[in-house]
Amino acid sequence: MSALDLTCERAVDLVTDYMEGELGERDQLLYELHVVLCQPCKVHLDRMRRSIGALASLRGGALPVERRQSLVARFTSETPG
Amino acid sequence: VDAVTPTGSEAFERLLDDETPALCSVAALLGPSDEAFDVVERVWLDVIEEAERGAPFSALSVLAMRRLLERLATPLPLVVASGDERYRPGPFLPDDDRWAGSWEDDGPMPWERLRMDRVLSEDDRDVVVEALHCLPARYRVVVVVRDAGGLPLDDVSWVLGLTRDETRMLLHRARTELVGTIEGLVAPAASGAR
Repeated sequence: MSALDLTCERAVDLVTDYMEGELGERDQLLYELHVVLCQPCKVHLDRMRRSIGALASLRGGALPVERRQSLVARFTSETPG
Repeated sequence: VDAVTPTGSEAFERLLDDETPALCSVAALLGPSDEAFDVVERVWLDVIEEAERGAPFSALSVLAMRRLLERLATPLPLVVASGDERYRPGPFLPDDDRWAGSWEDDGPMPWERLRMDRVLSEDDRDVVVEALHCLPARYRVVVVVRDAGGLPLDDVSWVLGLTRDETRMLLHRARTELVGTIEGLVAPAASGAR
C-alpha cells in the first residue's frame, strides 16, 4: 500500500467521509498515509476542519430563565406521571 | 412516556439544557436571529405535545430538531440533485499526465498565509455567517444541522428525510462549498488565483 494508491483528486472526494469516520479500514489508512505525505491535501483537510470548528463555535445560548421554567412546568403538568 | 416518572421533569430539564443551545444556533442561522428564542420555545411546546401523545423520551431531541426545521419552513425532504456541485477544489492534472489526479500547482494555500486564521476568532463570526448565507439553501441546512447543531449523521439523515448516503454526499458538497466561500470572502484576490 502506498500514498500513490490514492490521487489528490480522490483524496479531496474522501475528506468528509474521513472526518465522519465513514471510510473502511483500507481507505482510511490510504487517506491518512496520503495526507502525511501530501502537503496540499493536508492543507485542504485542515481548512475543512477549521470551517467545521468555526461553525461549532456558533453554538447558541440557553433560553431565558422564565421561559425555561415555564416549559418545565408545562411538561410536568401535561405529561403522564 | 417512558422515563417520565418520578424523575421525568428532571430528565426533561436535562434535555432542555442539553439541546437548547444547538436549537438556538440552528434557529439563528436558518431563520431570523432575533426570533430564535421564540421559535425554539414554540418547538419545545411542540415536543411536549409529542411527549404527551406518547413519543418516546429518547426521540425527543431529534424530534425537536425536525420540528424546528418545519417551523422555519424548510422544505423537507431536502432535494439532492446529482451533479449539482458548485465548487470543486483543484485544478488537478489530467488523465493523460504521468501524475494524473495530483494538484496541478501548489494546491490550496494554508489559511494562515491568507490571514484567514481569523475566521476562528469570535470577532469574526460574521465571516462564517455571511459565507453560510451565500450557500444554496439545501447546503446551508445540512451543514448547519450537522456542524453547528452537532447532530450525529444518522439523526441528520432522519431530520432531513434523506438516506445516509444522500446526507453524506450533500454534507460533503456543502462543506466544500463553505470552505471555498469563506476563502472568497476573506481573501478574494488570492481565491481568484486558485
